Amino acid sequence: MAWLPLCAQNEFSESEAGSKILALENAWAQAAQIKDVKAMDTLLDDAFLNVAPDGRLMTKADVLADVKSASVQQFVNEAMTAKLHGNTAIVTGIFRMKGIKDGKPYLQRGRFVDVWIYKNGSWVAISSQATPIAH
Amino acid sequence: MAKLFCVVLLLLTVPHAFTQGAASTQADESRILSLELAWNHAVQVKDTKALEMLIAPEMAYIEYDGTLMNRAEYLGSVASRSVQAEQILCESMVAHLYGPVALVSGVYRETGVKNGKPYLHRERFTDTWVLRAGNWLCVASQSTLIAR
Repeated sequence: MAWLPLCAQNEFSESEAGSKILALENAWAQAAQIKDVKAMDTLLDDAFLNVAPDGRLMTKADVLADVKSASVQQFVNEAMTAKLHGNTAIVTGIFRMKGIKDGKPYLQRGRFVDVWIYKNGSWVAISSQATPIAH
Repeated sequence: MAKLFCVVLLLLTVPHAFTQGAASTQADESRILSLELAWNHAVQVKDTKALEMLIAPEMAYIEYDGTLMNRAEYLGSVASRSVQAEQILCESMVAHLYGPVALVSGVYRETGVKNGKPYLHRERFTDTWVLRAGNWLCVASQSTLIAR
């Protein structure tokens, strides 16, 4: 694909893009909660890399497999902010996830940074990292 | 410290041709990895001037304990006398280029002294760099603790 330089005229305004990306973040959380692998597949770039809260490095395939097998009851985002850098957006925020693992309930809260790029007319996530924080 | 400042300045001002060739991609990736090493060294010697040249004014920094810092807070934490990073060793580091954006993911091991007590951390990090006016600047950096 042809990469546009940062100064290139974008097809979107900053505020529109920011709102769109935050909506995509919520769609991502929803997809994780309801195990919608198809929806998640469209949100993540094929080269997507994820650093899980325990430090594991995961590819897109690993993340999709994880979504299928996990038992997430609630996944919500809080305090999200999107910053645009040309055709790239950096989202910082806090996630809160509740679920059951190995028969035991868990609650996890983490601070994340997601990186999105505008590629072929849509926004896709290329990276995500989460760091645990106190509940 | 002045020497490091010069190295960073040199790395940042090498003329940049934004082309799509493989050689250019490789050159950018190498340059960014060099900037990462310069960053580690700057932290060790508390060279905040060098760091200012590497990080964008709007950078978001997420510490291994989840603390969110802006650029000023991050520079303040590096300059602080209560923490002294003695060794920062990169175990692995890969740069992925997406045109004018680069992601660097890797693992580093840091030893030092914090509030008078020695520490050893092993962290996985992701740094996001953007090409701005011919210079690569870090706009986001995050670390997550991993097993030692």
